[in-house]
Amino acid sequence: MNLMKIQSVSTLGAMASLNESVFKIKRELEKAQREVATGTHADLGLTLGRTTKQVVSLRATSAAQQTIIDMNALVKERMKLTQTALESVADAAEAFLKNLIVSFHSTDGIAGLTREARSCAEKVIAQLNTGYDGGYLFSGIKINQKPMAEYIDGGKQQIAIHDCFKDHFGFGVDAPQVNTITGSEMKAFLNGAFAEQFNDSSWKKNWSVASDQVIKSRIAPNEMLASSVSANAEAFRKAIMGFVLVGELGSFGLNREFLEVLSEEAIKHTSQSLQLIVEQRSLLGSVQARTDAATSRLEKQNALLEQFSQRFEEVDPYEASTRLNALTTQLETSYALTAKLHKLSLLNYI
Amino acid sequence: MTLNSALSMAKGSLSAISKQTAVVSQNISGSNDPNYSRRCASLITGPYGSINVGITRSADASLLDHFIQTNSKASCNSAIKDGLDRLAEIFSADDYSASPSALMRQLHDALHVYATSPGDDARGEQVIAKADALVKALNNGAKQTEAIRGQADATIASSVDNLNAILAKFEKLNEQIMAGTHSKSDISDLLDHRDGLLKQISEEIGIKTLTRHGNDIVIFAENGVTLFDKKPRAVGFEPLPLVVGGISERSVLVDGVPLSHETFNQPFGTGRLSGLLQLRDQIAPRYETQLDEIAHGLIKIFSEHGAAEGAQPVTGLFSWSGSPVVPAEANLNGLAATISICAAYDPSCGGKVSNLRDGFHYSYNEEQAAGYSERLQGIINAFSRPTEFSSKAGLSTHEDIVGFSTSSLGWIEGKRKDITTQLTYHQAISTQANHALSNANGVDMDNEMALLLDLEHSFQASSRLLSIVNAMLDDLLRVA
Repeated sequence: MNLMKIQSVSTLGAMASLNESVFKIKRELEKAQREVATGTHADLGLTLGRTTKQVVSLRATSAAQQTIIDMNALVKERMKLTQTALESVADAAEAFLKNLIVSFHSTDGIAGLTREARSCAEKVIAQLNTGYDGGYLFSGIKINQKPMAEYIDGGKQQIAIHDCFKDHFGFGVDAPQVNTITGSEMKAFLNGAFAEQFNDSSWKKNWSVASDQVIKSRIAPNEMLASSVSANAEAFRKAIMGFVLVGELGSFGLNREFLEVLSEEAIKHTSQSLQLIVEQRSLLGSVQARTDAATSRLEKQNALLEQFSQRFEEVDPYEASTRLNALTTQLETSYALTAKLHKLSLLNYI
Repeated sequence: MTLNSALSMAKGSLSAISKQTAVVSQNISGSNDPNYSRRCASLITGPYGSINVGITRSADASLLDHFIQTNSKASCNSAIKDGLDRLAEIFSADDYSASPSALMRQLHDALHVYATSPGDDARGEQVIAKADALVKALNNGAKQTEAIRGQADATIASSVDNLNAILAKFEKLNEQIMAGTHSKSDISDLLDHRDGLLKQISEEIGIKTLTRHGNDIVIFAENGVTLFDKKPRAVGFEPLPLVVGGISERSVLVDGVPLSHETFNQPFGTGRLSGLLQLRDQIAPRYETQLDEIAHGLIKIFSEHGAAEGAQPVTGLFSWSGSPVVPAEANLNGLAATISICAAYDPSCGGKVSNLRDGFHYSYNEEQAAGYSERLQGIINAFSRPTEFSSKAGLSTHEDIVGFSTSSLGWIEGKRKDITTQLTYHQAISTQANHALSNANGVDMDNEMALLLDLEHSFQASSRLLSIVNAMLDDLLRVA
């Protein structure tokens, strides 16, 4: 009797175990179906547990880097435009310098040169006022303000220069006494009161409203670089100084000695400015190169990150579909078994 | 031996067979009742050839005990798993795209875009939109976690009521069984019923039983407190409201002894009550603390600091009920539920986006330049700078805020995975124990049918005997 009890299987137990196995297979089947359809784990969190943290953070890092890559494209475009503008400024200064050396010795030449000087100054100011993306390239961080004031006849810059001339010599630029100014007197004026017109405070009062602070850009998660040039840079001040010197004072000086001094000073300032512009351009060029390097580095990293997170998220499609097939077979067997076992009762034989 | 005694024996056999048949039919009717233990009718020969039928109940107490214990472990795991599933579901949808960690990254990226062109208000508005989504996610997370705690609390209440109701039934049954045992009447049905009640109790709380003289059962809870001894002990619930954010003060009292998850001897707890207590008092509050810490971190990152000496830091884009004071460590409770966007920064509330760039309480942008981005870059840097987090959150205490929020996701998913593994294991064991119990105690229909055939034959033989003796007596009487 005891032996029989151990071996016996209760009807309820047998049926319950059949039901349970069908239920379990169905649940597994549903999971496998989803995995085959989507190619990723049916329940990422449950499959990965604590590793979920890595996947989420990999994905987020990759998105953040993509943002930096996108923004770098904008920064690069701005730097490219800045380079073009700088090139035009350099071209103007160079052409002017050439003419300065060639045509300063004839009276006709001087008249032409004076006009050219003024147009050069206007050209450079126009370049410095280049707009970009609703703002201005050369205004430092005050991007929504036009950096340079227009240079026109009777403008505040001209008035300021004329006033300073009058203050220094005691007569205006159009007075007949101008012919009496000696070379050394002129030199003293140019290096003193005239130069002061281009120092920090006068420059910001009459010429430019730009900020000295240039725009810094984050080109990589931990790399911030200056990516713009301010109109207050020494290079532009020297260039404008050279142009204005000739443009404003060249027209009335017929004294030989006076002209020598004027040309000497103009050549000095313009060539200095050219040198400084080259420096600015190479500086900006190196930032451009670093931005390119950072972008390509980030792109490579992003590709790797993608691979990493996919390794976590994706299921082997071959394994998943094999599992699906196996489960389908198992479920069919289970159904067949249930039907068979239900038929298998002593009741059917008595 | 006489014909008369043969006749009376055949009669006795007939009545024994009909009694046995009754037992078989009772077994068959009970074959689908999981609490039914198979009855065994055995024949006992009495004096003068009389036959009695003894009914024994083939219940295996140790198997039942095993099932009760495994079942209560599985039931505890199942309660915890349900809660963890729901906690994880708050943010896991669409590959965690609406989780604080993902939204914080988006906010960080939007800040980067804004910092690249700080003069562009539209990009600033993107930052505000992301910040708003983040605040809503945190508010919602805190609210849902609180709701899950509240539901756990409500389920504990109904679990306690259920337990009290079962114990009251148990008392009546136990009395009847003791009386029945005393008067030696058939108490099999009552015993079945009582085993069923034990199974029900074990689902609510882990128990150990002790059978005393006269079929009297004493029930102890897993933590050693007596649940039932002749009379049920009162299981009560302190009628105090939930404490928001903190650990709830409202505990379950068994016989005056407070029941908390720690009082269970089993490390993973036993019974639904233990699982629910663990969910309400440990898991959900910890998750809330993590959300609060995230909110606190955000408020700190966006807070504004004056350059002047002695200037107090003031809350920035993210504010809370106590703004403009930056909340201190101890003041965290419920921060995730109340964090909001300060209207001064939100253009849809009449604020100005540029306040984010220039500072609102303290001015960072001295030149009033539209291209000023230092403050924004400072905020971006703060995202990746490690800060201090409370150890109450159960995560790393020195981490950057994005890392902390992803750790929080990892924490809940890790817990969920662990408990699912536990549940699968305990459910398997419990199912197995149930099968063993069912096979030992349950009814095999085929067996009963075979027995019935046997009984049919015996009945036929006995009735044939009766008719033969009858014929013989008739013959005898005719001769006489």
